[in-house]
This record gives sequence, structure tokens and C-alpha cells, in this order.
Amino acid sequence: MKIKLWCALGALCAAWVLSGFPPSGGARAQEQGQADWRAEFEAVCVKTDLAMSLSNEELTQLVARCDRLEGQIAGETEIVRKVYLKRLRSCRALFAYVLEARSAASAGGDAAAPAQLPPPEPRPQGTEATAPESRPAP
Amino acid sequence: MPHQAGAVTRGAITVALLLLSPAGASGNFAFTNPPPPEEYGNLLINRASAAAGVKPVSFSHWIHRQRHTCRVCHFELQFNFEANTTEITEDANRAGMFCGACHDGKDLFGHTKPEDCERCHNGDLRRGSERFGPLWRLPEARYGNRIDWSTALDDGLIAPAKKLTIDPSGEIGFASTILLEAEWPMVPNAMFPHGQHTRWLDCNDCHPNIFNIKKKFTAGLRMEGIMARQFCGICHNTVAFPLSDCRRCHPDLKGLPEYPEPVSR
Repeated sequence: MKIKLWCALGALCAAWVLSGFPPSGGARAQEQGQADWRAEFEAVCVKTDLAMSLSNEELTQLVARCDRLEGQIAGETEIVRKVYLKRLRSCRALFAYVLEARSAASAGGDAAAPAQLPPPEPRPQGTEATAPESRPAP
Repeated sequence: MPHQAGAVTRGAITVALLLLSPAGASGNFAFTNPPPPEEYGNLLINRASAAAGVKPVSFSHWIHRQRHTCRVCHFELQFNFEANTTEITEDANRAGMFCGACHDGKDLFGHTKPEDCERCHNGDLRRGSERFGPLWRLPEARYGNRIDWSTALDDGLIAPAKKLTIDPSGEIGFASTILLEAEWPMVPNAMFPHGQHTRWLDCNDCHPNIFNIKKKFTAGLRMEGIMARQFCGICHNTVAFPLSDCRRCHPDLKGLPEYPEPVSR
């Protein structure tokens, strides 16, 4: 009985090790590295919706962070690389675009830049923005 | 010859009247017969399906729009705006990317059961149309889905999530309305409201790839380009309200053009 128990325990341990858990030191480091750049990626790209309110220094730092991230993502699998690099480059392009637009504006402005109107008044709840047209019954 | 001069004069007057008539001018665009409201914004994704021996994927924007804003799919999940250009594969989906970010077989059906394949790979643009009926409760529009989605969002009648995994920093504060001067003197100017777009999209969705001040895009921003699915036409006339709804952008336009309205089957 004891021998059977020990055999069963040994078989379980062998199965556990062969399944790759706990992960080897190298695999653990790789997972940690991936977690690190993903966290940085999200911290950087989340700021696209604030781009217009960031200072030039902040935008420049974000561009630099994007450049560093690109190097880290380049070593990932093809699927991950394709998706995240595309997003990263889009984020970087937006930050660079805002910087460029500001420098163009301060240098004399873009003659073709369209006029901007003040934000519209908030519409009262329940009113329709378009003239209702009768729709055919579903 | 007096008879010929009279015909030429009548022709010139006719052309001049057409050009001077805003309705006539704005009704010059050839909008094809619109799809039924329950099919507007539906598309078939067939980048690799047929080649792999499966039916194309039918995707409905109005079904997904109720759950997530455009930002989630077209910013977080990196779906391209142009259909059949995103490299969606079964492997990518199984890895939790693209559709697989939600359709993982846990909260929503995914690639876990063979019988679920046909829920997407059916090649049928009308798939899911039986679920359209309850949407008639939403504010009306004249074209497209015949639903004013922006008003529905503003009134809280729909509450699509703005994020999947990445929280937006906050409400995008840039809400200015831009005046776009029309080339034709008799056509009222167009208005572009940033606020209505930032409630659905991220700044990165449009800037700088589609709208880039650096390249002075406004010089080329014309209806011909928009009709050819450039600029605004990337979304409007495909999934957002169609271009036949002229007054949505040209609010001061007098007289509605007589474009055909969509009718349910």
C-alpha cells in the first residue's frame, strides 16, 4: 500500500515537471519581460486621447518610449509583433503629429487649416437631433 | 440661326438653374439603392476564408456597436477600417487577438465548438436580422440603419463599453467643431463636430493617417474623394450614417435631396 502511494506520488511529480510547471528560470524571465513591455505599451498608448493636452516635453518623451518599445516588441512572435507594432507605430505617429502641428502653428500657421468653432451647447435630454421621418413598420 | 441660338440659350439657362439650385446641386451624387436598414453596415470578411474552404464571415456593425464603441475594435484590437485588410486568422483568434479577444468560448462563443463555426462563417449578410426589430425603439434617422446612433448614445439608450482592457485616460476633452467651407458657393458649409466622434473613437483612429494637417488635407477634402471612401467616406457610407443624409453634415442645406430611403425586407 505504501509503495503504491509513493509510486502514485512520484508519477504525479513527474507529470508536473514534464508539463513545464513550475516554469524554468528562462521561461519565467521571458514571461516577466513580456509582462513588462505590455504594461509599458498600455501606459504609453493610453495617452493618445490626451495628446492635445500634453506638453511638448511629455509628447517628446512618449515618442522616445515608443521607440524603445519597438525594439522590445520586435522579438515577439509574428502575430504579437504584427498587431502590437502596428498599434505602437500608430500611437507614435499621433504624438509626433501633434508635436508637428504645434510647431507649424507657432511658425506661422497652416493657411489651409480649417476654422474652429466653439463647442456646441449640450443638447437637452430627450430631444431629437434630426427631423424624425416615419419609418416603415418592421 | 435664331432656332439654334434659342436652343443653346435654353440649355445654358437650364444648366445655370441646376447649378444655382442647392437641391439640384446636392442631388447630383449617384447614391445606389440603399440596403435594408438591418443590413446597413454588415459586411462579409473573406480575406482568406474561401481560399481555406470555409464560407466568408458575416459581421454586423449594429450588433457589435451596442456592446462596444468603435474605439475598442479599431484602436485596442487593431481592426483596420478597410475590410479584408486585417490579417485575422484562426490562430490569432485562438491567441486572444481580434475577434478572439471577446469570442473566446467562455463569455461568448468562440473557436471551441465545431457547431459554432457557422455562427460567423455563413456568408450571409442578413444573418442576425431577426434581432433588429427591438432597435426601432431608438431615435430615428432617415438613412443607413434608420437609427440615430449618436443621439441614442447621448440619451443613454445604448451604453457601449469604451474599453476592453485599456482604460481611456478620460473623456477626450477636445470637442471643437470645425467649419469646412464648401467649394460651391450655393452649398452651405459643412460642420465637423469632434465631440460626437470622440465619444466613439480614439484620436488615433483618424489622426494622423486619415486626417493630417501637415499635408494640408483640406485642399483635397472634396465630395468626390469622400464618395470614393477617402477621409470621411471611410466610415460614412459604409458603417456610419451614409452620405445621402446631407443635412447631418450640411445642417443649413435648404430642401432635402430626393435620395431613396432604405426599406426593410
